Amino acid sequence: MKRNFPLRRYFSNIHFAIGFYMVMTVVSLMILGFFYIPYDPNAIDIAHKLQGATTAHILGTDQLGRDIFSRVLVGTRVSLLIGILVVGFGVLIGTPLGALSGYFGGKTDEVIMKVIDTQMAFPGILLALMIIAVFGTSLQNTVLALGLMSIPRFTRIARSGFMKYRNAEFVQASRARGASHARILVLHILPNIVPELLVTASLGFASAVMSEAGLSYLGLGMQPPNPSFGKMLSEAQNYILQAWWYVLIPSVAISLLVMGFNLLGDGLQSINQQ
Amino acid sequence: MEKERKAILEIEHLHLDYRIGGRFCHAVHDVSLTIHSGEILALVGESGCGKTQTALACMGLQPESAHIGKGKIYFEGRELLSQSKQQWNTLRGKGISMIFQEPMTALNPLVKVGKQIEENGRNHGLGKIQARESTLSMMEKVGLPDVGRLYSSYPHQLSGGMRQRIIIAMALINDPPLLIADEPTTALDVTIQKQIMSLMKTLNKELGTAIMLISHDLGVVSHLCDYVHIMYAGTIVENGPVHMILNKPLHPYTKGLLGSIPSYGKKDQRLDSIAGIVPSLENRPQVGCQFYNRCTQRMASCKNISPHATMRDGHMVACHLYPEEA
Amino acid sequence: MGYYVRKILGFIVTLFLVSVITFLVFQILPGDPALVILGVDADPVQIEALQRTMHVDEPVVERYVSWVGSALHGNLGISFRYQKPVSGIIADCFSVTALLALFTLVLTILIGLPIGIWLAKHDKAKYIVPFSLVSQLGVSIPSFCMGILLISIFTVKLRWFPSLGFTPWSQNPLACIKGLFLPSFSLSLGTSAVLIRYLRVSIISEQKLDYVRTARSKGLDENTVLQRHVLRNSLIPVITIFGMLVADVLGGSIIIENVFSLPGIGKLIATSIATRDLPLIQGLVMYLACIVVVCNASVDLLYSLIDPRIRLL
Repeated sequence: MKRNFPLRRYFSNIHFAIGFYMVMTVVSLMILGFFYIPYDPNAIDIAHKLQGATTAHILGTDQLGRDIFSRVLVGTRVSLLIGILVVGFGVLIGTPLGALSGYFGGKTDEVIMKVIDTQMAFPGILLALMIIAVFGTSLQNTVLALGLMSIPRFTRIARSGFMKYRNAEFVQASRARGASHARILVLHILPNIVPELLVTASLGFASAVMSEAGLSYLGLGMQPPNPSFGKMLSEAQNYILQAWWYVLIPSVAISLLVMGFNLLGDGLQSINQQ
Repeated sequence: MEKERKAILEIEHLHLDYRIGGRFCHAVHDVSLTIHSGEILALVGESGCGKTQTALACMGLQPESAHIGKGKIYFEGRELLSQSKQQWNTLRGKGISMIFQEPMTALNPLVKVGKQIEENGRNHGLGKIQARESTLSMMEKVGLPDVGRLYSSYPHQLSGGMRQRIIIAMALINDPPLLIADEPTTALDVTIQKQIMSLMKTLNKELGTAIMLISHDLGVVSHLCDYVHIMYAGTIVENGPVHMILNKPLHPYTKGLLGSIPSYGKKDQRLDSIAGIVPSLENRPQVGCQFYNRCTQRMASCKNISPHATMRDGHMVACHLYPEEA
Repeated sequence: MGYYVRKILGFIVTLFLVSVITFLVFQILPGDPALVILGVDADPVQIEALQRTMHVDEPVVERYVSWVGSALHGNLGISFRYQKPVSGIIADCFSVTALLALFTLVLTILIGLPIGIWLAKHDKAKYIVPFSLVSQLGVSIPSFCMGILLISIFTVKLRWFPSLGFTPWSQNPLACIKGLFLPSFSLSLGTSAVLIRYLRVSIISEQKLDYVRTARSKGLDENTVLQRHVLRNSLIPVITIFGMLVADVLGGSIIIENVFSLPGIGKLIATSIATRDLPLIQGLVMYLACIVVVCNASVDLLYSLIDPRIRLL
């Protein structure tokens, strides 16, 4: 019976299951956005500003009369896109660094890890802020800044993985057969640490979404009028008295995404450890 | 020749089980033994035979997952297993003390060793000054040098042998009638082992403390103890005065244990060892002799019928080779 | 001794790397930095003056050395916008951020310690699953979302707390506490969730160690065993977490100060980025990073003071 449902193992983990549905909620909103957006998200309609939920605007309108639901649909797209790019950046740069560090050890390891650890000294989004201060605000720069911030977590996890396997029997066997370092690193060891990298990617996704929201809250992420959750939140904050739901909507959207990916990562981790 | 002595600790038909996969597995099965005042009794067997579990039950320190089904433990005539938590706490460290196998980890790494000894005294009613005095004198008694300085050192600064002496001092500061020593020398060097063992013997003579000595090594305990109980897979298979067991072992398991002790006399002989290992809790047979699979003298009846204890040549043995006399 | 020497060396190397990174990032300004900062139609005299203060014509290494040299003397340059020394501006804002961080850490301990201990004592599945979900909420709801929600409930609806802004401690301690409570509370939810998780795991694994059994064998009751032996020892790994939490709190304060309009370092960073006040940003980044490094070093030191074994390593 259990064979019929191979994902059962995953869904019997409550963290994974809840996280999965949270992420799916957001993803389906994004997909919906590709086919159907009720209004132009940037269309201004001052006459109908700050309205509560109506049949015309199911999540109400903002201070310029823009349809909040449409902006949420587009906003999810931005958040997920940035999350994917940032995680991709972190994986592509962080994993090879960690692989070298863990596999070769010694001086290589010391130098790489010292630089990586130095990053811990820049608290929160400070490093990203520094980069944006220099290069200016744009989608590319946001991705670059957050991507750089996400490198260390991938480096650390890859390092410990490669360290664990560098003297494993199957590695020594292929070394004896004359396999090159590159071959061993990519074909033999890497597949073993993919599960851990997935966990890290999921947690990294959550923190990228959170940081992006923080940056755009400060006005240093996506530039207006394009919708993003952080920016919506900072605009909404000025209208707490008139429209409390306007504050709630981006908050819930950000938290849903962050928590979804955090739970997914936590769940995957405990499934891996079983 | 047996003098009339007071029984300190009596264990009667103790059963201790763990629930594994919905089934109770016996870690200790129907164990009975008696320790008299001033005597040293050894409980010998391989790892996993239930020696430590038996000892922990006497201290009320068995793991929370353990379940004591049947059996009674009397200490100086008082039943222990029905005690309240409070009563246990007054007993531990004062009535019965216990020392553990690993001197490296048995001390709190962050507390000065003197303080750790003192804590036991203070907890059982000694005043501040009094506790400190008895700590220092106890440290001297267990053969520690320069006790004033050692008092304020940390465990990691001491060698394994010194730590074990600290632990012994800690256990004996309240002059308990009974000391349970769980493999006190296993983790130590051979030379230190000898020192610690002779220290225990001296303390036993001087203070009159009865000792339950747990060991996997018959050779180590044989010089020390008065009585030996051989334990296998949760049951006692043979017991008696030490010279009887050494000179005339009956149970095949005891013979195996004796055969695996290296000694001068057997220089050119092959060192025997018992094939196989102690079965884990969930793999123990429900009926029949526990030793069946590893026994060199097994018979058909051993598999299905549990052997009963019988008296033979002045000691007790549970084996079908020695049938109950009709 | 070797331990301390190595720690101090590591500390110096980290500070060095921090300064190099901070310096280099501001060197790779695309185009002429003076033009970038002042805009294309700036006064040529102004541009030239700026180029002179930035020493653009000197080699990078020399510029780095002179920058670090003056930074070590407390001179982080002159802010473009305020036309005042950067170090002075930072000093003015620092007290707000320091108080906010302090409040947050105190709240973190007040929330985290009892809950962590309670959960370790009651190590049962029926508590663990709900807790881990709630703690996920604490970690996942961004502190600025939480801050805004708290404002809308407690400040706007219930009027329990004053509206935005900061009252210095010296002026009115009570008003100061009231003003900082909501921001530090929103920051402390995430940090206490982290603290609780680590504390629980640490206590539970500590309880399994042999010396705890020794303590029990002395007849100590459970509470004494917990307080005198387990708790102290399990706090040691938690201290490391505390070093990380300081960084978390400082990082979080960058945004939360903007949410609550607190005139601290974080607010200063946001405005200085908006006005492209590069010397000020550079000084702020360097300053915050150094605080984190110093905090981590102090945590290491504290660690070795509490645990006598560490000094041997």
